[in-house]
Amino acid sequence: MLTEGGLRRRFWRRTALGGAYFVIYGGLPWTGGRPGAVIGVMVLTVGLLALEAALSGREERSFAAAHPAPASTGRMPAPDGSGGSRTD
Amino acid sequence: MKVDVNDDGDDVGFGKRVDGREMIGVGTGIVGGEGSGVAKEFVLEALGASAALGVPGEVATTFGLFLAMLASALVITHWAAERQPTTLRFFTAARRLSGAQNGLAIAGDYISAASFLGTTGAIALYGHLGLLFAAGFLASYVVFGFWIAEPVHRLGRYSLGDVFAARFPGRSLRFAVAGVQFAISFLYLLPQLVGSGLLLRLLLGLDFRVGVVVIGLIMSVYVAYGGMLATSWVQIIKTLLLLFGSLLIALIAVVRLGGWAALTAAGRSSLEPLVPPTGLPVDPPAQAALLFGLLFGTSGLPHILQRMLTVSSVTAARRSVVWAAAVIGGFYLLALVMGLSARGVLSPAALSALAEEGGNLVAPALARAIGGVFLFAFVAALAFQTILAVVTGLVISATTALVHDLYDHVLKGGVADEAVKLRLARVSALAVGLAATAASFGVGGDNVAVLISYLFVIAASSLFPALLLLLYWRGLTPGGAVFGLVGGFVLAAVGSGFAYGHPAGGAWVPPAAISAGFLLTVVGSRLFPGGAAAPWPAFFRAAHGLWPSEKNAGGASEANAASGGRRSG
Repeated sequence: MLTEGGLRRRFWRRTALGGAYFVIYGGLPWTGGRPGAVIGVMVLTVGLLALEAALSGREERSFAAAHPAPASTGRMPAPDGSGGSRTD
Repeated sequence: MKVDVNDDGDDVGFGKRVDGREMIGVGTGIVGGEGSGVAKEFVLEALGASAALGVPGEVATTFGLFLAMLASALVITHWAAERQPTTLRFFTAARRLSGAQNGLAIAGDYISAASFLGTTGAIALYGHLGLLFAAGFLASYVVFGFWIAEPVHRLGRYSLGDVFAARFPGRSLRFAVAGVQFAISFLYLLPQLVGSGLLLRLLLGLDFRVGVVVIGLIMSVYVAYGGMLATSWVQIIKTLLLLFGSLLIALIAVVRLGGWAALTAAGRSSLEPLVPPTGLPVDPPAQAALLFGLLFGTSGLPHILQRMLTVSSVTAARRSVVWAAAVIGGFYLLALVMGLSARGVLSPAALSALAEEGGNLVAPALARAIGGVFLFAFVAALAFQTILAVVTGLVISATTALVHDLYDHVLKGGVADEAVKLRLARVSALAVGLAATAASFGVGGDNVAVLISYLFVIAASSLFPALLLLLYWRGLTPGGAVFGLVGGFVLAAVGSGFAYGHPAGGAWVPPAAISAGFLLTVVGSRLFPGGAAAPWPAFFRAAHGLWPSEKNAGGASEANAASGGRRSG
């Protein structure tokens, strides 16, 4: 979970990173068929996802350290009792 | 299609007959051997149609590996069947997979016949165009990971229908979502089954239809008894084996060709197409249009979206996307090496012959050429396992739409008996598998990757716009979502039909269809306002994990209602 400000920052960060990525990705057809360009975009794809996952994870850990867990996570337990004790 | 191998303007391709046999041109190469003309059936034999050759040792090797893969998956299925007395476990593996496990399973779901057979072949035959395809498939994970995966995990319980019902609990929208989910999953099954038929024809010399029936029956039994848990583990093991097999082929091929420099030389480094690409655009603007379509397809694929419901937390969901992208990206790099190697190892004429088959058999042919019968059989068995893992995921997705959404929520109002639902899920899995098997007979041997790209466009034009606007646009209404889902699906299907016959102009179908999907959803929301809906602030908090601060804590009960209250199973 995040505060409203944190969520807004995350949204715009992802939009900015994603937008820049799409510009690079969209330019691939004009690279003259160089394999290096395509491989570079593939590596960038995985790197970008890993970076964003690391940043988001850090945000959530910081938030969890600063805020007590809410009374309700908003998730109902399943009929068999599983899936109801989430802390994300 | 005629292939002018000698580039002299004469049709040296299929169609000429010598000694009563259909002819193709053959130059020099490990597979094709020396010669100017060899019958098509000779090339198929050289590529490894072992049963046709009638060599007992080869047949025994291929059958042995084939049965070993089959037996391992059956053991997993039996193990899983003993652990799933509930529908939650049948549809979502009880939400207990870790991020790494789910990421490998997603890769197993995603690295399909289109990737292993189609993309390797496309890179070998069409050069950088095939590589572009791979980049497009991988790039779609950015959209999926950044904007879709986490909210889907937070809102869904069993199915994609649950995600939509978190905001709009009415039956008509759930009916539309389930219908589109079922249709996409079912249609996606067809090219996978075609790939399996082609593979078994090569592997065991089986008739195409017999091969499709064999795979269809096996997948139906796996899903019916093993559910999502067995499907997940079959996919995980398949992913690991596939990475190992691809790495092995790549290493042997590079060594065989004399190192990386020789490999890039063999690939002519610029990766010019060897044969005219079929179904692929050649000018950059049209290629960009196709890449645009691939970018959004994953976020509309129901079997991938459903995988977000199998993990225990948002953190695990996020990690699973990273794992999936890393594994898929790594595999595509190996596919590049395999495709380049095929150019150096296989003769131009052999590649032409493989192009005639849609390019789907390049990888097994390469394995045969560099590693003999055993490697060929191993790779063919891996490809078989690959297809099996993908089709089981698709059957699960289609079955969930039928049983959880249509039967339980649309027909029974969400109060269906658990035992009946589980029984019905197993029967439905069998029925879906058998129906898809019968329907796949009507699909030809076109490049599987091209066929899959059309499904990507359909998914990106129907489920994706509705899902994205559901999560981020306050103005969406249930009527608008239904209008966009159905309209986007129909328009994209018609557009893909057009693209099938007009590859050049058809490249513009993806952006047009996806834009139309968004436009229809927005216009539909204006035309059909109203309808039962959870309050937007409560839904937004539940979907995006917004902290219920003092400012908006009053809506806690609404958030609970939006995210979990209707998930009664």
